[in-house]
This record gives sequence, C-alpha cells and structure tokens, in this order.
Amino acid sequence: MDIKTLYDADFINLITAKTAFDTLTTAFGQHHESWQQEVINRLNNSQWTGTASEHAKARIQLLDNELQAAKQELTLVGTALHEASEGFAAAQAHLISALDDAKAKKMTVAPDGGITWDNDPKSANFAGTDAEAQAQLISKRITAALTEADHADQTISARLGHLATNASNGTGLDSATAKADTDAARKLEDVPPAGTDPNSVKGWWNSLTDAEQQRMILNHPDQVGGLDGVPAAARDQANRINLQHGKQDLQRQLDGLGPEPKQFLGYVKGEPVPNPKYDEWKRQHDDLEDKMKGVKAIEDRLNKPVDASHPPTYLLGFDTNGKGHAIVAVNNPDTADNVSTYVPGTGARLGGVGGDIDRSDLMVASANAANKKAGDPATTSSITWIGYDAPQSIIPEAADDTYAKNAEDKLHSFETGLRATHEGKPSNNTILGHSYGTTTVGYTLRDKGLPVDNVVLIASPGAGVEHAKELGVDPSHVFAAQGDDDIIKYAAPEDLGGAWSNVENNIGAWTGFNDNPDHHVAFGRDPSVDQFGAHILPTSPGTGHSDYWNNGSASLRAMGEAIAGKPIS
Amino acid sequence: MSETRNTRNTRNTRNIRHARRSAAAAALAAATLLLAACGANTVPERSKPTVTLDQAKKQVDGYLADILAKLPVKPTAGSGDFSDLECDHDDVGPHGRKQTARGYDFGDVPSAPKAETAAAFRTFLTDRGFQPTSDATGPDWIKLKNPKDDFLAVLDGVSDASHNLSLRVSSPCVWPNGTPPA
Repeated sequence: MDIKTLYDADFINLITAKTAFDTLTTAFGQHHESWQQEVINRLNNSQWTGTASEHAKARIQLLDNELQAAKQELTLVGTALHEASEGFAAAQAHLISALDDAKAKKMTVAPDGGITWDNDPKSANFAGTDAEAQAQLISKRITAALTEADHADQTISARLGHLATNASNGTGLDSATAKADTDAARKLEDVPPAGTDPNSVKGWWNSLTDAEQQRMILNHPDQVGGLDGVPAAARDQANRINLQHGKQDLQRQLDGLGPEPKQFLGYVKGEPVPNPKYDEWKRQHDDLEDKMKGVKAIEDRLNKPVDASHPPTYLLGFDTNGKGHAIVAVNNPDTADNVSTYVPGTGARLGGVGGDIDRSDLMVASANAANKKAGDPATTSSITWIGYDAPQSIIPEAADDTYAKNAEDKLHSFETGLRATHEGKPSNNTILGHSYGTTTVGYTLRDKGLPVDNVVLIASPGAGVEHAKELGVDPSHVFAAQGDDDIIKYAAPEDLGGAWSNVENNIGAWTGFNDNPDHHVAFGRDPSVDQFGAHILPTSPGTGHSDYWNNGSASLRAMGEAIAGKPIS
Repeated sequence: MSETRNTRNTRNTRNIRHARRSAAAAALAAATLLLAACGANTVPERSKPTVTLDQAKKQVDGYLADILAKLPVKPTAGSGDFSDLECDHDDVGPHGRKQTARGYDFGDVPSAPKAETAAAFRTFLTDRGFQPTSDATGPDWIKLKNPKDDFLAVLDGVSDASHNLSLRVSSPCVWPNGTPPA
C-alpha cells in the first residue's frame, strides 16, 4: 500500500458492508428461530412415531445444526469486516499523525515516502539542526503505518476468503468447522486477565501467529501493554498506542476544565476570601499538567536518536490512573545479558518519570563501562518501574508501609514476567530500590520472593527485615549504600523493638562500650550497618538523598558494577 | 484466669499500639526537623543563579576538546549526545536543575600510552586549577574538579587490568535558563 492510497482511503464502505451483513445475519437468525418453532417444535409435539419418524427427526436435527453453523459463519463475516475497518482506521491515523508531524517540522514528504527539508539556518523554512534524525523517525513511522495497513489488508482477505470458501463448498454448514472458526475469532479477542501467571501469558502469546499477535496489539493495546509475560517489544508497541491515547485524553480533560476561575471571591477587612472553585480547578489542572509532563518526558526519550549514551527505549507499562504509572526500559530486557529493575520511592509517579529515566540511562552507561573495563561484551537493560502507587509525601505517607505491601503482587508479577519472556540464556537480574523503593523491594522479597540474582538497596528507610539473608537472595549478592549527607538514617523506627534497640546502641556508643552500634530505621534494620549483612557500596563525600546517580560519583560507578556482576571498586 | 489473661493481653496490645503511635509520631517529628534543617541549608544554595544548560554543555565540550588535544590517544568513536540528569529529583527541591555530561572511549590502551595519558590528563588539568576530589583514591580512576566552576573530569580505567580507558566531563547542577523559576 502506498501513502496516497492509505491517506485517501474511505473505510465507510467496510462499515456499510458490516452493517448489511449484521442485518442479514439477524434476519437469518430470525428465520432459523421461526423454523425451529414452526417445524421442530411442532414435530416434537406431534404423535408421529416409528422408524420413518426417527429418520425424519434425525435429518431435521442435522438441518438445524447446519443452519446454526451457517449463522455462526455469517456472524464471523461481520466481525471480520468490523475488525478490518478498525485496523485500517488505526493505520490511517498513524500515517496522518506522522505526516502532520513532518509538516510541523517543516519537512516535505513525497508520495514515495522520501522526505526533504531545508538545511539553511538562515532560511525561514530551516528544519533545525536535528532534522535528519527527526526525518528518520518520521520515515519509520510512515513505513510502520503502511505495514500496518498491509497487515490489515492481508488479514481481512484471508479471513473473508476462508469464510467464502466455506460458504461455497458447504463446509460452513459443518458444526465442527463453524466452532473452529468461532474459536479462532474469539482467540483474537480474548486477552488473559491482569494477574494471570506470566508464564501462562507467555504460553498464550506464543500460541498466536505473528499476524494474530499484531491484531491483539492493535485491538487491545490497553490490555496487552500491561500484561506481564508478553514480550517487551510487543508491550512497547501496545504502550506507544496507549501513550498517545493517554495524551489525547489528558488534553481533552485539560481543555474541559475551562478558563481559570478567580482565585478570590473578594476581600473582607482586607483579607482575601478563597474561591473553592479556583482551588478545585487548580488541583485538577496541576494534576493533569503533571501527568502531561510525564507523557512528554516519555515521548522525548522514546524519540531521542539512539547513540552510545541513549540506547533504544521500550515502554513496558503506561496509564494515567491515580498519579499515573510508567515502566520504561532502556535497552530490551528480553535480549540483554544483565537486567536491572529500578524501583523509585516517595514521590514516584508518571509526572516525575523523566528524572527516573535519566537515572536508568546512567546506570546502563555505568554497567557498560564496568563491562568494557572487564573486556566483557555483555549488554545491560535498566527498567524504571513506576508500576505501583508510591507515597507522595514524606509526611505522613512515607511513614506508612501500606504502599509497599500493596505493591508486592505487581512487582512479583513483573519480575516473573521478565524471566518468562527473556530469550536465550537466563539474564543476570537485579532489583534496585531507592528510598521507599527499597521498602517495596524488601517487603516483596520477604513476602513473595523475587526471581533475581542481586539486590541493591540505596538510601533505605528499611527493607522490612533484620538481615540480608531474610530477603531470599544470597547475602553476598545483597548490596546497600547510604551517603554521609543522607538524612534517611534519621528515619526513626516505626516499631518499638527497633526504637528500643537504637536507644540501647546509642547509649553504648556514647559511653564507649559499643564501637560498632546497630541501627534501625523506619521499616527494620538499616541495611547499611554491618549487622544487616549486605555488601556496602561506596559513596562519594557529600552524598545526599538524591545524589547517588551524580556523574562521576562512586555510588553510580558501584551500582553499574553490581548490575553488571563485576567486583565493586 | 482466662478473663484476667485476656485483660492483660488487651492492655499489652494497647500499650504496643500506643508505643507504635508514639514512635511514628517521633519519627515524623524528627523527619520534619531534619527536612527543615536540610532545607534551610540547601534550598538557598540550590536557588542561586547558575550558567545556563546550553552554556554548561559548551563548557563541557570546551574542556573535552582541550583535554583531547593534550592526550596521546584518540577516541574510538564519537561522543554521542549529552546525558542530562535531573538534580534533587526526589529531594526537598527546589526542582528543575540539571547536570549534563558526555565523554569518549579510547578502547583497550596498552600500559605505556595509558600511563602517558593519565599523566597528561592530570598535568593539564591541575595546571588549569583542577584539583583531585576527596574520593579520587580508587585504583582505577582519576577524578579532578575545578573549584571555580565545579565541572568534573574523570579518566576511568587507568589500571593495567582495565580493557577500556574513558574520559567524561560533567557539569554541576545548573538551571536550564540560568535562574530558578519565579
């Protein structure tokens, strides 16, 4: 299919044909029901018995089965036409979006797909210094849209051809054939529900043909995109659709808020009187703008030209529910040798995903550096996992471990899915939490177990355990770091035992009887004390709570080494 | 007996709950004080005007070009685009500052030119006022920082065991437009 054909295509004829077939199917069904009442019921209620009666009833039952099968086959024609129209419309929308973006970037797209632009910085039509990279991205989108349309075309041709053959040679009257066709069509609609074991999901996904997988992505991106056990490339494709839908929905909501109300209703004795409508408008506006900021950060990273510091990015999860969620992988976790999942803590939300992706980029670069220095060609993927509802305030939300408990099933499912979809030799997997994210990681390891090789706890307010061995991972592969300027060490224990232990140890330290005091923080023993039993990662002097990823820092280098499975410097 | 025991258990449970609430309250109070203290020290510092992000990128490239000109080895590939990092991402703020960085790989450099490179790197930058950072004692890297502008230059993989030598220059946290948002 070429650009003009898809751009100009009017799919109304498919809708009309679908409606006509539905009408025909309904009429056929009504005739069938009438026939059942007028013929079969009367016959069954008659007093006719004997051999001739049995033969007649058997033949009529067979005819009834054939009519039922025919109705099923007719229904499938309507379904096929409907799905075809949706598939073509989606492809056309993607093409138009790419062409609109080309126009906005002052580029011209020729009918054969060639893209031209003005390179002269003095020209009014100058397309910018990154025009070539942008043109490549747009070209890929155009090609993808045309491929999508070709795919829809081939699918509808094959399905209608099959049903037409069944109709013409009579096999469509066979109950078994109609059932098989119905099952095949249903298979294209039924997506395993969220929470299904990722290994079962992977089995289901593998049972689909390439074409069926494509249809599943295009027809059900909201379900496929978040389903653990679906390979990363497919989730990425689905979530890019979800991202655009989410963006459009957020914009609609922003537009629907209307103009900003007056902040104050007036003044009484010189004091402003707050306007409740303004307060509500502002709350909604700021929430939507925050989510839109996250959407744009994801778009920017997905569209960034690939280079050594910016590997390909995969969107493994996205929604705008609550404060919004996003799961973004730098490099493909299904093919990487080392796979790390980074779980951020308090404040983690869709709106802040940009800063978390920055950190994943740096961790991949750091792991790559560790591998290169060791002469190891291994590759690394780092996934930012904002797949849970994190506390949004230090006080009071971060003092509540409910957020960590509620995340356990989701994190367990995600990590199980990573194992299920990984290709070839099992990867060296790391779970890396920061701040409250370490509590989420620790609780999940303690209560559900995680299929990981390494655990990294950065700036932890406690992982819900007293010793690394309680995490279910070899303690020699449990790492912890705490900067000298990080106030997390002062997050006082939420339980009496931990608080009392701190009192005893502080007295011991002050009186000189204890030169290696134990320490407890909000949710258990501080992972950075010797008694916890973790391998302590170095940090640079002056490292505060969000400084662990600073360029050139000892902690960033150590995280890369831990993720790459290399000795810590 | 049974009744007495139950009463005692109930009292104990209440005491534990009360103690937990007290501990949680103490934790929150401590955290509040600490955040306030942290904020008092760092927020004004972080809120000061800086060079812009574009200027920081030019400075990074300037340092890289100057350093490369003095080294006896050549990069194995281009530098790629800048890597930006959001500063104070999940700290008390203010939010919006960024670090930027980029660098080069030199591949598996033999011992002699590697030692020459390390010496040239150190000499050139210390002559320009760069100083070793306090954690630059690792066996495999040289970290030098310019106290005048806080730009950091790292030569990594300088030990004989390393199969890759790399150079990276990074900026301090800067406001994209040079000033914090109003």
